Amino acid sequence: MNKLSLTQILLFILLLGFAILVIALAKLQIIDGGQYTEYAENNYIKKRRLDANRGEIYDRNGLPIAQNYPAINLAIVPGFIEDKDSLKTFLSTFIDVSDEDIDNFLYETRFRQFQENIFSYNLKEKQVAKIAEHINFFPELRFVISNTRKYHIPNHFTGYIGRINQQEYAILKDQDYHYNSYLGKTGIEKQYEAILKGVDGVKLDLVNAKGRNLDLFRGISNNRDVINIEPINGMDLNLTIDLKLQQMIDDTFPPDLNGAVVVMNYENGEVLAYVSRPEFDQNIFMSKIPTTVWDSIRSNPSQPFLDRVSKAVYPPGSVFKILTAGYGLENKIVNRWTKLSYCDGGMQIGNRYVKCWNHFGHGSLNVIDALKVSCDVYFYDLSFRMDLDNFCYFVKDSMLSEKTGIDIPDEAKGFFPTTQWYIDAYGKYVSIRGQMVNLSIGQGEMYMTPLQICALYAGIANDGLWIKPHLLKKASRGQEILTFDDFMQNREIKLPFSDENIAIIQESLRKVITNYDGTAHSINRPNRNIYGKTGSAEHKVGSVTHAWFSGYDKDTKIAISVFVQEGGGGGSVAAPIAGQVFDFYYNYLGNNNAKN
Amino acid sequence: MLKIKNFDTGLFMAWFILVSLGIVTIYTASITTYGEFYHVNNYYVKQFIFFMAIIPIFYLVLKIPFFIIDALIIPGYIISIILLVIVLFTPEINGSNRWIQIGTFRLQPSEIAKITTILIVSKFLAKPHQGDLRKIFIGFALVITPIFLIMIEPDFGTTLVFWVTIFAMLLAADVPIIYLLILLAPIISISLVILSPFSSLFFILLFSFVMFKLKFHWVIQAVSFIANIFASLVFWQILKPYQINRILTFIDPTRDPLGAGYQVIQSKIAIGSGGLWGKGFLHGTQKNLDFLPEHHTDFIFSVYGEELGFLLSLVLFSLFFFLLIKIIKSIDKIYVLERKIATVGIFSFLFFQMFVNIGMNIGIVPTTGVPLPFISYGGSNLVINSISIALIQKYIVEKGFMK
Repeated sequence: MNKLSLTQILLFILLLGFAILVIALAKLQIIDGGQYTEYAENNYIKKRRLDANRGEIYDRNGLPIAQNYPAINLAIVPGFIEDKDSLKTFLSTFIDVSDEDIDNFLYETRFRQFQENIFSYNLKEKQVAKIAEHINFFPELRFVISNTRKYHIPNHFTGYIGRINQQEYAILKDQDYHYNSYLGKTGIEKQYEAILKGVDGVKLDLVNAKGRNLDLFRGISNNRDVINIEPINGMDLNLTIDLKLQQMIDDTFPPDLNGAVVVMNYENGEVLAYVSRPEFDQNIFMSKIPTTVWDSIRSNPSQPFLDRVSKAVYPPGSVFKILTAGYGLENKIVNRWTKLSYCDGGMQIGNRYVKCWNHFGHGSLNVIDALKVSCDVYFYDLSFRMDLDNFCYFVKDSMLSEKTGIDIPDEAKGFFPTTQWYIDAYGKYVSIRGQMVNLSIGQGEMYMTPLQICALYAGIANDGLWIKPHLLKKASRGQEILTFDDFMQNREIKLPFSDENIAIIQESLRKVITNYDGTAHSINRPNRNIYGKTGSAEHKVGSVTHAWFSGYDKDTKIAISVFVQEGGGGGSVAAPIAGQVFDFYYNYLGNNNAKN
Repeated sequence: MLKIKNFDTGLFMAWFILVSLGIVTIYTASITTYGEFYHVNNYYVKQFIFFMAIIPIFYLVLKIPFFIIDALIIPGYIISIILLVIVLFTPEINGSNRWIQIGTFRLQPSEIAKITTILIVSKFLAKPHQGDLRKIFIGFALVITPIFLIMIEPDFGTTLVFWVTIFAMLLAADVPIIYLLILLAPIISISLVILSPFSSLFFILLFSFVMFKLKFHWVIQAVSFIANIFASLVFWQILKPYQINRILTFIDPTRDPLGAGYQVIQSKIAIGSGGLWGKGFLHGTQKNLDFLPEHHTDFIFSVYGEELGFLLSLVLFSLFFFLLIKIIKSIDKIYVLERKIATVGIFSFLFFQMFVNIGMNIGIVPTTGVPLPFISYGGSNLVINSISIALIQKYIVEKGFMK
């Protein structure tokens, strides 16, 4: 073996050493360079979120419904907790929380140890003052200012916002949400979340190795486009609601009864009033709800949280009769002059005697008079000549037992049975005829929302052109304005009525008001064009009937649906409310027009 | 100076440019600036003062007669040993006794010991008619005292530098590699004891068995065995936890991102984020925002790599490469064995320090606390390294006589 000289060995080691260094450096700086650039930026750039202001909600005339107010929140930075027990004692003294709540909170935030996690929202001034006295002893506690919502009127259409929960955060964290975000939970707040929310901005903070904010971002950013992104505030919404009308109805509605009133413009589908009783104050959701308050609401039998306009379904009773009549007319079973069975306070069907609501009887009537006096016997008789499944299609085509598509989430669909449904429910020996008798007068296994009924009457008023009801009038942010048409087109549906038959039904509805024997003659006003139909739906044996009134006013172009749960007779309970609404709105519009 | 006959201008220029580049790098490492904030430390001024002081020293080394240098070797060695003892009784700085504070300057005796040990070892190794064993024994005997003293400072990195240097010098003194392995064995035992005492014990027994099979003299076998055991035991007991941590963290830097692994991670981030072109002079974010500790001393290459990028790092490498090639080339021009051995010693400690320092900056070598020659801030280091270059220059210029 040739012995290597000393210099050759040293040269070899030198070359090897430099080769290693150059290769390792090239890998670090060129191959992995981009990755390490990112690491370096993560080192010194801390992103801070600038919350966008949520859009506010106003009525059609610009009166505020939901607005933002500054709130003081209490945040916990779990990583700084020194003594958990004393923290628990402290918090439970000033805020209504249990130890369990705090443990749950700390568990939820276990991966955000050094971030400000908001624990308690919208503290009261007294709480802030008391906590502030002691906050220096708890480095983990911070006050954080943010916006909260204030709802000026209790209502069911705006819904309310709430803090993002674990499940929502898991879905939305890749979008513009963070763990302290609010979002719309129900109602308009949920429906228009995307435009109400706005876009959060980002502020880039330059920090040094100790995490200290150096409060400037100049000089170092010469080779990079680092700029702060200003938040884009959410759009303000103008609803179609007329707050004056809404409040008037709220005041008029019998205080001890539950129910719903919905008023809409039948020409364009704008909902002017959306009242569900009893109301509840959404502002309770804006801070921690005391357990006692929560329990009392939850255990209240009248279910204040329930939106009776679009999320609760009831048998419609006689207001439904226009559809039975419409089906008869459309299928040429009857015409406007056809008189059906004699009403002597009821009629004999097989071995059963079914009663009319009026025990004195109505005699033999045609369709117009039957609707006018709401004679049950006429519709019983009509139902013998009808096919249930065809009728079900007719009902669906009339947009009952179909979602109206109003811009409020979780709308109820309602229900209308089919033959198959009865066979599945009651066995194959069920008497469809017997069920039809009930269905023909709007009772039995059919359930509709007051909103659906209102939309149907609006369609009748609009000469058979059904228009989707909606609550959004426009959304605006500075000069940028979106109208409802920008959100939704094709809102019109032709009801399955010929013009001739629409006219017959309109005439009947007019006679309900104008004729002295009409069921809603009490709300007849001279020189006004009010149309309507009452209903008193039996829903449970031995219980007071649901009072219904649905109708429209040709002068003010509004359609209304009044529903009073277990209120009694439609003519005596529901119709007067509608009458007051018609009067109020007529005068209100008149005054406004006079002013303009 | 450049008119001196046989003067190696290339070697001198490489040294000069490296030191100048060092001052420029220390200048940026001294500055902390972001936005309108601007703060300067005076490190680069101090380093510049040393630079100014070195030029006359360099000249002096070239001009001083050889017999004076020869006469200074033994007293120099003794003085540096004394200084190494004194330093142990000074107040601790950063958990170790490495510096003697003189005014605003800090004297680092281990740096002085480096050159004096090289000179004395080469002086004794070069004596004619010695057996290999005798050479090893002498080399070992002369080097063990400073190594031991530096080890208990403690300064693990410099200890390694001594081992590598003595290894290379023995090689230069024509000692066969198998003997050198005997010398190397304690280092391996020490390295293994850090990982686990049992692996170290296993290695020592295995090595003794190999020596037995190769029929070494029983005295050598016994001494080697005892030395291995002793070194392992000492390291096992005296190595501070942070040092063990450093070595373990080298294997997996992320196991302690805020502790021992922090420097390596941040240094890699700094150099890696520099990319091809660097972030620009004075504009290193890692440096300016203080993510890199000690960025003017051991981790100065991370500042260089971050701000100046890959291409200029290659320029720095080329300068080192050129300097070291010049030293290797000069070995063949030097005829005096003693000086030849000394040159190899100087080469190996410069190269080893450079390799280990850059290696630890880019994360391929454990963090050992070895400065980057000519670039890192540190007066003693700069002066000693420069004197070493001056000595090689002197060896080239004054070829001397074949003894």
